[in-house]
Amino acid sequence: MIIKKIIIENFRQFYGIHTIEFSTDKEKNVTLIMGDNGTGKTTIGQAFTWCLYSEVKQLKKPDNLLSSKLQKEMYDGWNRDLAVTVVLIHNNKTYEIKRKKTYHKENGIIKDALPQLTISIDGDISYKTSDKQENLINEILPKELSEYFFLSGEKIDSMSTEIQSGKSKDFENAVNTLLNLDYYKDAIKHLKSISNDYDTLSIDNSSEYEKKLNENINTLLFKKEDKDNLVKTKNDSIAYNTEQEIDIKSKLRTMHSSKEYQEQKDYEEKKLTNLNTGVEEERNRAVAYFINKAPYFFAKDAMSSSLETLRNASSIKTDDIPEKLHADLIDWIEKGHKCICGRAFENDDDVYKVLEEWRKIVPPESLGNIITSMKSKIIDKCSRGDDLFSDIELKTKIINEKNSDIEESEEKVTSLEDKIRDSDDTSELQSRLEKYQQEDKDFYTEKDELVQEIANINLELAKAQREKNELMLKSSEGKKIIRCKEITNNLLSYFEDELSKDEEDKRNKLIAAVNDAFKNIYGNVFPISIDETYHVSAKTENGLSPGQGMSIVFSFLSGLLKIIKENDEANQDSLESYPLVLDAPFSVFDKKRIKAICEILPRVSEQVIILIKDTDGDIAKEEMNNKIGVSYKLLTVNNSEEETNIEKE
Amino acid sequence: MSNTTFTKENKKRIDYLIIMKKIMEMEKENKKTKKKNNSQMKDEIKDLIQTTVSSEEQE
Repeated sequence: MIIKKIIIENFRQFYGIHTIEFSTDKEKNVTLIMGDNGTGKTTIGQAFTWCLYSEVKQLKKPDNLLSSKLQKEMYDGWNRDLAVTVVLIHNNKTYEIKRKKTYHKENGIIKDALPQLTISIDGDISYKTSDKQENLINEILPKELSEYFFLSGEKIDSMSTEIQSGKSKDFENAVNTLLNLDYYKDAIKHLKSISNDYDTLSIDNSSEYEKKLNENINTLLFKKEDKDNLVKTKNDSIAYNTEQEIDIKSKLRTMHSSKEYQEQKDYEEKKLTNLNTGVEEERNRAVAYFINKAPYFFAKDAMSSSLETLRNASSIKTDDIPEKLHADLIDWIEKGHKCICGRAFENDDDVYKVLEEWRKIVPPESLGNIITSMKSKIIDKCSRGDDLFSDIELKTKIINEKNSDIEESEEKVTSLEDKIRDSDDTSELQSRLEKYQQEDKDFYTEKDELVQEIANINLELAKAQREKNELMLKSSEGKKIIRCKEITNNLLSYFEDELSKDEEDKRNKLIAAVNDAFKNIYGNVFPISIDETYHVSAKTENGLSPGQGMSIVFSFLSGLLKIIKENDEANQDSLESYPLVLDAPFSVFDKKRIKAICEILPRVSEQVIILIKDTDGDIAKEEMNNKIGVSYKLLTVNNSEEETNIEKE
Repeated sequence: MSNTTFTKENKKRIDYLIIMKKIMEMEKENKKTKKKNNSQMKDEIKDLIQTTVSSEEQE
């Protein structure tokens, strides 16, 4: 998607009609719009979102969009229009999107009508109903993604906190959509729900037993959903507390007397986090290992006895059976009551009985093959649980060692906290920090308990489902449902596997691209890691400065755009590329960083529109000179914030 | 494994791949157009699965 132009009519400071044509030149893909504070830089960003989504953020009175100069000029009985038109190119077609609102003045009061939206595609107006129009805009640029491409200074600020705290689900969803991962997630959500539906489907409405089974499964599914939601709430609370802790720690860091202790404490806490993560990972690995191996370990006796039975079964004599004999040939011989040698026989003859015995063994039944294959599978499975006991013992030993390291580290943190509390006026902040940290501990304990409860519910559910399956197998309709559920679950595991592979692959590429961009913007100061919820963490000892936080946001966006562009060029996923509209982004950076950002953004994005303060704009202009296709200046009329003119430079 | 079993297994795999591809296309399309709600999407996927089972039964 490329934006060609925007036409703004009587929208806030922009009295009359104003047009901005953006650079669509691939080599000079930057449009610079410069203006001092109050000249309407933010208004231009708002005009975009109002036109596309009928939404204006950061405005005290979002309904009062009509130019205040025009409002003063209007007399009773007058009608005046406010309109914004965005012209863009998407999939080689030109879209003209116009949102208009008519205002009418009566008895000194100005009233507005509902906004009207018209869309033309290559000059053809065919989208008449409102639903279709909104859908069409969402197809071009989904609303949930728009705020990451129409970026205001405030949004960059909040993104910096969001991506460090891992709090924002919106952000995670947006990245998933951009990386084309949400289709998998939707498919998984639907398949899970279908699988649950099959669990409680009734075959015989008159059966009390079946009714009770279904009720039990339903109750367990509800319980599970309820507990899953509670786990999510705990995760949200932990993320909120983490955000508060980051904020308090950054304040504590600025207080001189406690600085040294705080630094030591930060170091110790980082160590503690790593140790806790290590123990959790080790524990998860041990549990996964146990879940994987335990069935083989406990079923070994039963499997050995089955093997013995199968060994006896394989004593069935197969030497006499002609090679490559198939049940179809037996059918043919029996039907004609005549052997291929010409000898006739009847159904009570020995020949007939022998043929019936052979039928059990030859393809498609292939009893011999099935028994041989089953035997080798059982031999393989019997040996899989052999090392379970010794391996679990070893893993428990490792966990215990790590736990004692954690205890030691916790003691150090407590002692440093005492020192910080006694050092100066940090006591209030320190107590708040400790309160959040204590809450976190409680949340983690509660979460662990919930996870245990969910595991127990899963066991009960599996038992109830087994009983239901046994019942279902008694009818052909039931068998069909079981097969449907089997296919659903197989599809589910396929989608989960694919999602996990694709997600990991894209996240690794993203991490490399983000680190690369950060290195360019901020130098090789520390590595950035990104987890599966796109929570970004920077490995620093002293936390992040505001400039570093924003550099991470730019690096993240640059990395994301780079992957989208690369995929688009390789036509792997046909990820959609969007223009980047940045409002006042450079105020926290020094000249060196601005230079780095100016160098990287036009490279990773197909189109960059920068709304910038005059002073910062001069630096950007100097650094991006060969990339700027067109630049504009916003100038107030008569030094009043009521009216702004747009001048092309 | 006999030829018949082998062919049947292969057919099953191909059927799976076809349903998976169809589901992905349906989800992609709906993400863009947002025309169908969750319940409608579920019904369409269910239909796909049930059609596959019915054709398995016929064979």
